[in-house]
Amino acid sequence: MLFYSFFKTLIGQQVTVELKNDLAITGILTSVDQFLNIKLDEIRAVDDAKYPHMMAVKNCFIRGSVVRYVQLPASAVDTALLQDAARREAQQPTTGGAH
Amino acid sequence: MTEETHNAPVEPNAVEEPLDLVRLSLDERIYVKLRGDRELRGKLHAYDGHLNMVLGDVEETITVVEINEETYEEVIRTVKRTSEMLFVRGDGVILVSPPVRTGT
Amino acid sequence: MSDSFFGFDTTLPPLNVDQSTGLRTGEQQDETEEEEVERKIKDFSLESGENFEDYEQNIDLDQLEEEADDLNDETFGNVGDIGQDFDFTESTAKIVDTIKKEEEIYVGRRESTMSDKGEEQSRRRPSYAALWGNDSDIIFNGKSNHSNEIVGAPSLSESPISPSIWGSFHAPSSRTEGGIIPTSFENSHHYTPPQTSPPPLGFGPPLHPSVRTPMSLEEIEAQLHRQAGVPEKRMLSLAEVEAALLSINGRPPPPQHLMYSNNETPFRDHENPNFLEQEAAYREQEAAYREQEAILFHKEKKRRDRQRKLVEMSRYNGLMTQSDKDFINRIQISQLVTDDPYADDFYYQVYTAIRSRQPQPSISTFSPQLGGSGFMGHERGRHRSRGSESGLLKMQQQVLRIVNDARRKPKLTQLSLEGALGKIALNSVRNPRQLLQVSSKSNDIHHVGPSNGSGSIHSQHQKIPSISSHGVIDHRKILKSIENVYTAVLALEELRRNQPPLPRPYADHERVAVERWNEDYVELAKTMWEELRVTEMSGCYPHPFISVLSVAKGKKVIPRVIRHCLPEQIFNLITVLVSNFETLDVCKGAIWGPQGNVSPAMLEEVELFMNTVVPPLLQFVAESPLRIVIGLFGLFIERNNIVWVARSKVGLAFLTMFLSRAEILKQGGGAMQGLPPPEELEMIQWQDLYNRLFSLLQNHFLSLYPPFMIGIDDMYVWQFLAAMAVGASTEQQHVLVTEVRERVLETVIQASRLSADKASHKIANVNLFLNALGLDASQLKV
Repeated sequence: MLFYSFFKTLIGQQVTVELKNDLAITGILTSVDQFLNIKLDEIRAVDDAKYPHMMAVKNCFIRGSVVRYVQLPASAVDTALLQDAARREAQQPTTGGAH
Repeated sequence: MTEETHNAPVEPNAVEEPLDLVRLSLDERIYVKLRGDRELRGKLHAYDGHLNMVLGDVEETITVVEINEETYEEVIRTVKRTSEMLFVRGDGVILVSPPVRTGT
Repeated sequence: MSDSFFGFDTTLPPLNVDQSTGLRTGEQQDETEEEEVERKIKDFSLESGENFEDYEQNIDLDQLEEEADDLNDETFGNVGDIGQDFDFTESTAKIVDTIKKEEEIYVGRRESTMSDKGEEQSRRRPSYAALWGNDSDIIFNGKSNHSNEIVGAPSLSESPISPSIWGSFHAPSSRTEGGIIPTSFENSHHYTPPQTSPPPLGFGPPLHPSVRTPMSLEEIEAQLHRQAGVPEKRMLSLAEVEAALLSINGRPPPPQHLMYSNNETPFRDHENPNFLEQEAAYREQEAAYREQEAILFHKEKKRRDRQRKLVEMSRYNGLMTQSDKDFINRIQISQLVTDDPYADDFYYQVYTAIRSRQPQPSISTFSPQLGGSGFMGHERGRHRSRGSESGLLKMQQQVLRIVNDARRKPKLTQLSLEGALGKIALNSVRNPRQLLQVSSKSNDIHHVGPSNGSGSIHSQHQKIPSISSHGVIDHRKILKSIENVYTAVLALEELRRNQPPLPRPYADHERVAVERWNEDYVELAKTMWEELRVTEMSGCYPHPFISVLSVAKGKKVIPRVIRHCLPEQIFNLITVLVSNFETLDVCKGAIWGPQGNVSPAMLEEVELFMNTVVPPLLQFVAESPLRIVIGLFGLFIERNNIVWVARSKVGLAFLTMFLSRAEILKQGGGAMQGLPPPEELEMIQWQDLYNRLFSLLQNHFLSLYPPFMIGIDDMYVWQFLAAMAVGASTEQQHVLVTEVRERVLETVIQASRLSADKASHKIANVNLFLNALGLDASQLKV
């Protein structure tokens, strides 16, 4: 749930989603779910020339599993808090802690 | 919930699981090897059990092997990119390690 | 229809009449029910003024059964005895082979049969074409009848959606065996020769559905009910209604049905051997209806499509009972629900609280009394306005119970089932399948040696220290300590958030809760303190606590740690720090040389140290009496190469901290904090220490500055000099001015060349020092 929680705070931010097929899409993050499926609005392919078919698309839904990276605006990330959240997640007894 | 937190492991000698080792690298720079001949170096801000990660100040190195059409020689070329903040999907991760340290 | 699926011996010979009738006797119930339907049909006929008496006679099952078989041989030739009464539901499976054979024969013979019986010509016509064809009425029925003659099941297959529709309704009718509901119904009467427009088999009872536009289930039911006009009577069973619906939608009915007005019963008229006569009577009307029908046709088609969609969608209606759904809901909720929003949604909760500056949701919002669930709590708050309060309340109670249950029993992550090979992992939202599965309780594995996969991983980890350099182990141990500190700090912070209210008098449970909370808190704080390794006397170099501070996250955790420390612990911490100061990374790694060789990364660390570690310590010192300041200051000078340490920003910051505090106390500033004025002895001690420091730094004051050209803000140096100047004698002040005079002038000259705001900053820096001496930069003549 850590990254779901994390991505929720990024809704409304401009992100660049790089897919495993090298297609990179920049857009406004409009929604995310627990599988880290992503909805983007006002999208454009980073490499328009290579993916002309993306030019007609205004928004899209990206299945979480095809994502390689998501580039985020650093200003929208509270790294100290995020680290704490990661520590808490690691400690949760059900997710790999020592208990 | 207090019970849970109290049972939270603060045992100094707890046996380390692999992910505990990753935890040690929180807020530290790490090296991540990914599928597709990609490598990342950046500061680890978050991770989970799938090795999804958020890295800061990332430098990505992509190794591309190109074959010279005339000589048929393999030319290894690396492309570097940087990103201030990057979410990395865990299913592409091959290994995570602390960067090589040059003494403490 | 797989031969073996039902486990029947499909090699059995086909049933003969006797056998099949024998089977039929077991369906007594069916018949009684059919009789009831019959009665209803009679009622319909009475209502509609239509004479169904003729039909009625034919509804006598026994009569019909024997009579209806007359044409079997004619149709099929000598293919042996088959179950003429078509007890498909019971016997079909047993005669599959025969069916197939018969089908082949039938198909082979059909051509001739068709030519014999003109109605077969257009058998393959599209249904809508059939609708308009002159002879389609007969054709249609004829075709169906033939399939009927063979067996019910094949005809069923002609209507692909029918089986599922039957299956999707829990009809009270006992005639819902398999997908062949209508057959037993039909078995009860007839069968009529093909020429007499027999029933479209496979579409069940409503063989002559009036060609109205399709209706919804409710409409049909309602209408049937209305027609029946006998409300006290049982409504048609769902299956019957559905059958009617299907025949309306699944296939366009034969045109001759047009002649029946809407309020005529759609049932069974065709079975009347007299039907043809009746039909002839209606033929004239038919033409008129057709015209009308043409107009309605498109409408119909549309509605039919829609209806078909509805039927398809309703295919799975009623598959789950309400309790099934509730059960699933509970499972889902129990996965999502938590009584602590911070547990699963920590980042989002805190982040939004910080960023939006909204008041952080009070703890009570999430307390179990209020239904206590994280996101659910929020959701609930939103939905509440929409009403359904009691439902929500019930839900809340359920959720509370689930949460409590879940808390009571430890989470299972594995399950061993009898007969299963190995263990079965239980995955949930919070416990997803782990990519790396290593048994966590394997402390002893590395003693025993690697006996399995996970063991070898552990033993590898155990080996690392012995093969790797000491620096790396130490670093990892330190990281481990720091993470443990974080664990404790996070737990302490959470404990603080959940601090129980002060107990009211006579409320024992509240008092107990507070006591327990205090115990927990003390215990955790102790753990945290131990992990910080401040008091560790390991004799190793550098001191473990200094190593903790050499890591960025070790620095970052200090302000959070100190919040949970007792004053004596903070004093311990500072003591260890000042006595090992020169081993700090931010000290030893950030000594300015003449060339200014401090790496940018180290400068970052220095800033981090200044922003995280120094402030809480400064605050502690700013509240300490002179005695403690003297102790720390003395230790600082004693244990470190002060000339060297003073060339680092952090070293100078510590010196400034002690000097300024002592100066304030000397001037009676301690009174504001309720401290007694310093004793005479302390004043003397302090003066000794000051003089010592001054003599140590004499001739080195200029070296305290970072190299001039690097452009590092040197305010901290001016601050230190100001603190020195305030406590200095006239002689010492003179020495100070002489030593740094050059830097003062350089800075003022440089300032004159800079933009106004940068210049004023430079001048202000210089004035920090000059003002302490009673001078001002403006008095300087450059």
